[in-house]
Amino acid sequence: MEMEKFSYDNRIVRNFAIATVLWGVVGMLVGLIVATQLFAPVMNFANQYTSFGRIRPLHTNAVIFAFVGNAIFMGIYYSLQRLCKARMFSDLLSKIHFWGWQLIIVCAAVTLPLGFTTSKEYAELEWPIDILIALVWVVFAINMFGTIFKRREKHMYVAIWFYIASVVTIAVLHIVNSIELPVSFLKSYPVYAGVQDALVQWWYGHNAVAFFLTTPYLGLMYYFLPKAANRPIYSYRLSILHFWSLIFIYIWAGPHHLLYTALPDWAQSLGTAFSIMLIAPSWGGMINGLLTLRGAWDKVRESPVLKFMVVAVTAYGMATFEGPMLSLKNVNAIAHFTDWIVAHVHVGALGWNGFLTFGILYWLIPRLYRTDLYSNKLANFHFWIGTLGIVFYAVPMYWGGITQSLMWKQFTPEGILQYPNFLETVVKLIPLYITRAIGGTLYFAGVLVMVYNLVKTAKQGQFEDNEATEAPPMIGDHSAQTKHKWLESRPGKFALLSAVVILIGGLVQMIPTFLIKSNIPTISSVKPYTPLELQGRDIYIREGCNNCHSQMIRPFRSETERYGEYSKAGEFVYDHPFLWGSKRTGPDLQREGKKYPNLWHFYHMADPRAISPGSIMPAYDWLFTQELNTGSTESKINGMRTLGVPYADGFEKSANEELMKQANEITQDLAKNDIRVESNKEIIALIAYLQRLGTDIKGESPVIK
Amino acid sequence: MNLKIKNTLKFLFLTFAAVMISSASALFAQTVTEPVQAEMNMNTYYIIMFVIFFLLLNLIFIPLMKSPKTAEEISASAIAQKKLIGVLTGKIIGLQPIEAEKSLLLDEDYDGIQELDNNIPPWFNILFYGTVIIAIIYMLNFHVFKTGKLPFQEYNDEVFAAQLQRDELIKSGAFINETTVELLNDPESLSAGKQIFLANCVPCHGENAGGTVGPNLTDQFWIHGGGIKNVFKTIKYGVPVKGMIAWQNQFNPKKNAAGWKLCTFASGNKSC
Repeated sequence: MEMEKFSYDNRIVRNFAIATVLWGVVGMLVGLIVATQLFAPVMNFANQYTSFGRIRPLHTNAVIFAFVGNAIFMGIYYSLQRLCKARMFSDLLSKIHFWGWQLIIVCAAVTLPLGFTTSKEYAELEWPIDILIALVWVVFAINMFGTIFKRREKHMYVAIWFYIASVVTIAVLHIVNSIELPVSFLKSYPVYAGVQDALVQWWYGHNAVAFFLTTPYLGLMYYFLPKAANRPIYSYRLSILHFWSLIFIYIWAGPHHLLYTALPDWAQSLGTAFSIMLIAPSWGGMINGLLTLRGAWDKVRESPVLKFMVVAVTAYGMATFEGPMLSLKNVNAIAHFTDWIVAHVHVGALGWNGFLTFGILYWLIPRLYRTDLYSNKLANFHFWIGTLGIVFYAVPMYWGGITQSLMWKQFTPEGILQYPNFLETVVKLIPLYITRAIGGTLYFAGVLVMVYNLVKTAKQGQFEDNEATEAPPMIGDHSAQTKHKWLESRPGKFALLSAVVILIGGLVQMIPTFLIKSNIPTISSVKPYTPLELQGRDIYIREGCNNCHSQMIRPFRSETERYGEYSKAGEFVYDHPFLWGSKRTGPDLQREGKKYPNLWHFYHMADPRAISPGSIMPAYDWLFTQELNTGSTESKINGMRTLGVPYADGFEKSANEELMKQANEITQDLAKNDIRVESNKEIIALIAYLQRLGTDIKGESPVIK
Repeated sequence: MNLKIKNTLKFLFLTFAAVMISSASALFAQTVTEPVQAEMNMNTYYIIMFVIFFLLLNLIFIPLMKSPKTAEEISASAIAQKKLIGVLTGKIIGLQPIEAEKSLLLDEDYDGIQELDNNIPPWFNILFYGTVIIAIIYMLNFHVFKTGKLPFQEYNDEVFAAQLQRDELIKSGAFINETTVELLNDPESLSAGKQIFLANCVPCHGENAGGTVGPNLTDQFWIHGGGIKNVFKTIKYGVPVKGMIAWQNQFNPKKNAAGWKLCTFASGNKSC
């Protein structure tokens, strides 16, 4: 048969590799800073651009979308060309994809510290950037499918199945979760409110973990692990079963992030049930990975690449077993809102994503530069210090999470909370936060060693942009032995089928929650926010308060004793977006309204430690000097009305008048205590919002049978 | 060597089975009507104990299998062991001997990567279909037969139980209230009260009770009435409109305990 000559585009792979390493260093460094802020508030650097609430999203976005994102593209652009025996569909699209993605990252790195955020976790970027993401993703999809369609290999290898499912699903997730109404350039409100917004957000958040951090990486594992070990994949049949079951079941499990919340019970139960079923499909990948190494364990001892991969796959197995366990209601009752979850995600992030990326880089860079790795010794050192880093990170966080949760729940024999002061449970964690930062430092040091090693490797090698190769053209024979083989040679149908499979779960959960009224019982006393409160709420969002404070009192006696009546679905109908939070570094704020006088909030925001000695909350000096932007009130009221919030017609015209009236009331109250502050300062709006929180149904007695 | 690997695998499998069983039991323990708190801790405890128990069992079990006396016994037990392991690996773990690999190789190769046509491990199927059954039972339990308690039902039970316990304590006279409280003036009570004041009240009333956010407690005026009984009431129920929070859920109202001492301190500062 005649061979066709062509070349692989290695330049794009190398560019993504450089971006991976660069953003990895940046993202982890920011992570280290936020970790330090939790025991040394001085590390907030006393300015708004580096306060915890603003740069914690910067850390998560940087490591997920910049570090892991670029690593995914690096791995796909390398493996896809070789698995398809074809050059990428279009060099131009590759370039647009690369630079477009870096542009998105830079936009994120600029806008997040400036306080432009939607508050929705891992989807914080504002609407113009959301559109840019969608466009770049489409470019990537065209480039990828174009390559697959012009492939010279008849069947698509399992890695490509995972790539296809990831690309399709991420597009669906991103678009559905980002439907928002712009009220200005860089400010928008999501079309969903309260419970519905929470459901959509955690359908997205959970499946971003699934289809950004998991399935693309499984695809990478299916290529790079057998390549590095030079062993055949253990079981083709297992690949088929675990691929389809994984993508089908994963999408249903989102509500396990919302157990014991105001989400309808049936949706919560579905979240738990599907999480239980998720164990085996997740483990299918681990088994296929580890059993592929059967008979090659002697190589693992020698090769740092394989060592990284083995730990990565093991961390994946641990995290995907822990996930379903955390979805059991009685485990979730302890773990949710605590550092246990932080430990859980970092086993996945540092172990699975981090270590697999490092393994791939150590394997790939010498090949791109046609040389050997500069130093195996340094790579081994990286492996050990990295592993140690993970242990030092995870153990204190598990310990801290359980400790704090048990303290929250502890009653005295007389039925009184043992630790009524939330701060007591925080102070207890300080030594653990310090240990965690040490673990993070070790891990980060390993990464720096890797950077040195890779740079040295590149320097001693010879890079080739276009790697010449040859392959026979694909034969147009469409006979297939099995149905799945038939599907494997039809990428369009394959993509369509995976889209159908992933849409089912989301639709079944969302449609009833949106359409059936009984899922969110209305409460007549719940009213829309006043203009000042609405502005204050947007400041709350801008400062990222939701990163540390939940607004969701769960139905436990320990929580209702501490915070007040548990949260009801009907209370959030005007909350675009919902602000339930996912972590309680500080106490819940759902019933904060009218709990303390205005003056208390005034002092507390200026200097938290003067009011609560030992507090780790940053001070918010700038709220006392910056003027509230009342120019946006009109468009915000209009936007909210469009979304269904019942502001009277024409209210937007008099909204600022009402805003000033309410602000003056607060400043007059403060003046009684000799506090002179102008009504147009941002702090006034924030106080107004905090004083409103949860007051609509305050005083209603809990239902006791 | 091979035997060792098989033993290890078997060990891992049994441990895994233990975890699965114990977690499954925890899954359905949600229906217990005891206060959720204690139940949860006990469940966690049971899971841990279950795992440890199985680990120990395995640690004992494997060496025991390796302690035959005579050569005959050795060979006999080795055969039996091989048989047992063979059955285990064949039926549950489903691993083919590595030598058989060549015959399992599928034709196609992708950039040098080949695939084996190994069966899906039977234990994987057990796990998968097992969890599917558990999930179905889970849904039936909570939403069809309604035998499981949903979060708000758990909560109502929990509050109900706590209320009963509290009623008992009140009846037995374990708590003081605004009618039974009396002023204490001994130095010990005063200093204990001061400690509680410093830990809880300073943010609003100032370090010397001179008042900041909250009113001055050292002058001669009482906004909500003087005397130990009024002061007790103010602290217990708070004055929510003015920002004084109710402390009844935070201070221990047991006789001679914190709440009382605090009142003593607060009212002792000025003439009652």
